[in-house]
Amino acid sequence: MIKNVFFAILASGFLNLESVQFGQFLISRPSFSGFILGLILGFPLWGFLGGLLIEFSYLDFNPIGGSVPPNSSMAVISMLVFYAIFKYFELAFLFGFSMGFVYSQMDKIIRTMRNKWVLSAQKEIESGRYYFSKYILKSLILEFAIFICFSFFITLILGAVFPFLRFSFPQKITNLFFIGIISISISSLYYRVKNQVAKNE
Amino acid sequence: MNNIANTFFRTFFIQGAWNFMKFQNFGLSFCLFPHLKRIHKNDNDLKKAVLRHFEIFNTQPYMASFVIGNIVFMEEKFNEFGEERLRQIKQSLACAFASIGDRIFWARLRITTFLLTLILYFALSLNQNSFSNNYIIFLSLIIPTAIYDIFSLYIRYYGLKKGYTSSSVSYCGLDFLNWNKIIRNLSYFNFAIMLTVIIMLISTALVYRIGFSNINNIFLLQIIFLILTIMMQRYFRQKKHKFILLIIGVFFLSVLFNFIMGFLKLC
Repeated sequence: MIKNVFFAILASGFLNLESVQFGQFLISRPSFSGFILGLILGFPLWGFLGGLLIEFSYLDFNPIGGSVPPNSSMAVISMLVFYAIFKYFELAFLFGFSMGFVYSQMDKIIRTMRNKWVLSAQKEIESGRYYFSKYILKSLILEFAIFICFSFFITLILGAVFPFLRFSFPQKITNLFFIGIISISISSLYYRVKNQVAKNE
Repeated sequence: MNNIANTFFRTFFIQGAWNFMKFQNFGLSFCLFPHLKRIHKNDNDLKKAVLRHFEIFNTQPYMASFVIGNIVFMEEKFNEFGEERLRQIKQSLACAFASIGDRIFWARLRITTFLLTLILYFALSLNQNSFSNNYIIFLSLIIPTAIYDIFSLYIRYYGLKKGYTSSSVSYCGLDFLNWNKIIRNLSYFNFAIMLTVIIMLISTALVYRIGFSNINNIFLLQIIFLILTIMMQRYFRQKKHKFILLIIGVFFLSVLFNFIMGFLKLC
């Protein structure tokens, strides 16, 4: 299982690159990546269903302008690692859902870090050196490395707290909370689509 | 345009080093550099041209091809356009294409892809005896994604060509497709499949999960809970409160309803 988690995290790192840095072919959308990672971890159906729910909840967030939406790749891998350890679907979804938001803060930090590169690249251009591919490659490696480290860190934390956690008490609350999240996602998407039609009229 | 395949491949990296200072400037420079090198033989001219495009640049990644095509043409005719005009056209096109791309891809097609996945999975699952579950999931994922990708790759490839060939014309490729019609039709299509999904979810929940025989106080409380969460979503959206506050609100509502349900069960 540990080997599978390791490979799933690596695959997730590559899928995360596809979501912003390279391509945007929608292979990294949560339902797709959930299925791929689920296959690696041995529960493709749960991976797909969990991914669908994450995708549903995150559809309201668009990467428009300078906004940074919740990181769906982190949400999916956290959810699946949680599920692999605790076998508790609702709580795994809620955990993954929250981690997507947490990691979006990390995304902001990484993007801010790259601001410094602009100044150094500008100096290089002024001296007649053009290394754009170097910066793009550096950016891909940095993004991949931070994502992988963060995912392993989460796995270690979850593995460490596993023997001490018992979820019998909050189970009913999390079940209702889970239904609530799905309900607000449906409502939000419905009104959004309805408004788009109304604007056409 | 020379070496269109190379530029087309490079457009996949337009957000490669996205930063808050100048957004997609690294990606744009990466796409343009081979052309700038070809056009400006003099080192000083090349340096000036590269710096000219290392400024703030932000557009929708799929639609960036149109802007890149236009820039390559304007760089080739730099003496006619001049630096200021080139910069103005570039920024105006980036804004215009970003607005179109955001509305088509992020706000509509992404939703279409998701809803189609859901419907396909539901439809194919009805015939589960013929296919394995993994095959059903794979089909319901790959078909909508392939449709999305074919359209986005078409826009990226022909956007480059159209941007380049129509740059001398006042529209600069903005008339490539009837964008308004596409946006309108996608809105109607999404609304229709959204309604289908809602009906599908409600019927599935009623028939398979809840069961008509289980209608009791707890079931009614669950329905009230659902209605309250929808009302909360509407309220928070209208008041433009942060999404995280809505999540916290739903959590506390779950705790409250859990207590009420526990109390009712005891009674």
